Amino acid sequence: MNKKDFPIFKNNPNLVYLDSGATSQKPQSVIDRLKKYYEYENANVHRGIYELSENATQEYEKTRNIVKEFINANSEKEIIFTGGTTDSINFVAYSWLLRNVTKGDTVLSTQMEHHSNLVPWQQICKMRTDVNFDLIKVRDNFKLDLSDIQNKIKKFKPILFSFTHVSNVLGTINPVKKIIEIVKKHSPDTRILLDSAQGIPHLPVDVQDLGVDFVAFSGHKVYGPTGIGVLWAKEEILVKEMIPFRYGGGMIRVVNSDDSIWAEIPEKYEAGTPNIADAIGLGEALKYVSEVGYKKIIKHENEIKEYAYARLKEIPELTLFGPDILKNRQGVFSFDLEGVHSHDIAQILADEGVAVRAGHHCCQVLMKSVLDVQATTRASIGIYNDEDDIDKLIRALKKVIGIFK
Amino acid sequence: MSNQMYRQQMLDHYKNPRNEGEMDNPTHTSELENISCGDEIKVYLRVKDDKLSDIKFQGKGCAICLASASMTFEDIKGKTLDYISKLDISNVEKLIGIELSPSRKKCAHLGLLTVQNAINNK
Repeated sequence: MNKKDFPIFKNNPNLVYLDSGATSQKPQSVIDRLKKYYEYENANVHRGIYELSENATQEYEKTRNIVKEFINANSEKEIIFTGGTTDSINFVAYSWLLRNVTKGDTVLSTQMEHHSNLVPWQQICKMRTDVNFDLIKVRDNFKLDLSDIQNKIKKFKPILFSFTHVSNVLGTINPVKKIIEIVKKHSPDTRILLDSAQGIPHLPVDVQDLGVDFVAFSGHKVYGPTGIGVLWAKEEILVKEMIPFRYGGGMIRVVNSDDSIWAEIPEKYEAGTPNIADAIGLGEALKYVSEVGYKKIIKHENEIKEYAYARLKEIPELTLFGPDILKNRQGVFSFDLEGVHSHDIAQILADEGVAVRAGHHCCQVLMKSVLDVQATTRASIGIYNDEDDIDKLIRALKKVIGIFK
Repeated sequence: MSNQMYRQQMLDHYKNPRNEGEMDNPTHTSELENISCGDEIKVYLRVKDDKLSDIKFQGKGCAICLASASMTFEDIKGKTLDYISKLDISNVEKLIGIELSPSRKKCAHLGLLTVQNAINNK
């Protein structure tokens, strides 16, 4: 589906791209938008009185509105442009957690998190004395242990619970609404952050419906440019509970030699010249996703996911990690081949034109504490993948088995 | 490329590494890993009269890493420390007969680096 929208496949006719979990390919419309911006519209925002600058500001702010509509935020003031998910989470860590955490508090995350949703919290907790950092367990069925969530929420009443929408290794789709219900029931003051880096490319996110406090995602995984991401936070949190952690131009109302006064949100949190072009490119990517529509995306990706699962299960030497109940799983397939290191698998696959990821996928805690492996090989799908891609993956895997037999 | 990379000799060294194991009373030891991929090599050296008289190693990792270590160690056994310390990745590539991509060079290099590290640390 939609392969023709992505010029990378025209320019690399033999490419079988199964690494969308790392980054997605970009549709022509996004590439064209970036080119158009630099060729016709480039100017700094929020500054010049001339037409180009006014226009760039308008386009940049229009994108804020596109994002607002896309995730159903209450106001575009709640949309902060960042460098990506990692940047968004570090933002919350420094601007919110570091300012609000006190002795005796607990910060809760999970064993299935990407390092970017684990290390920032761990390190902030270490900066303060007597702050506890704890992780929710992953069960044998590769899902979060909901009773562990209930127990720890009840016991610790954590200041923050931060968890992922979809696991980048297991493909597990977490039952976000159910988890939030548990948190709200037992500790209504706990703030909740949803890391949707792996979610939003495949599943709709409605921040008001979910009832979360923060959502982070990256542009480049949702068919947009690299170097741009979003932090959404509730307006009252942005206004009352956070302070900027980056200072400089663009975020200022008044500067005196001894102190300064900040601009209003969202500018207050966007110091320096923003990533204007890529923000506008992200807007174009979200337009693309909206035009295709999540309904169609989900239907197509489900078909490929089911096909891939069935074909991978045919290989007896292969151990597949992740939920067997496919409705709980995104099109992400991490696996182990008996006696073959993931780098050797990925190398042979690469020589067959099949692009996958090998390694720990920035999830060392999951690898060590849950899966008990050093590394896995991961195939992850996007809207452009088809059954032919999966057939080529399977053929290449059989070649690996043949070589190492 | 993989047909060449994973040819018989390479796979044989991967499946049956030469000089694998531990050593009692080594004169030098060292352990290194490639953090990004988790390859690990531990070496035990016995050095006599400035020569590497014996070497044993233990490792976990990909075929390129372990086979390169096995082939490198077979080659350097009996050689002078001066000779060993002058070797670099290009020698390993020549030895295994494969030109590697930048990311796989790190895998192939680990064994040699571990031995050089053991020698330098003494």
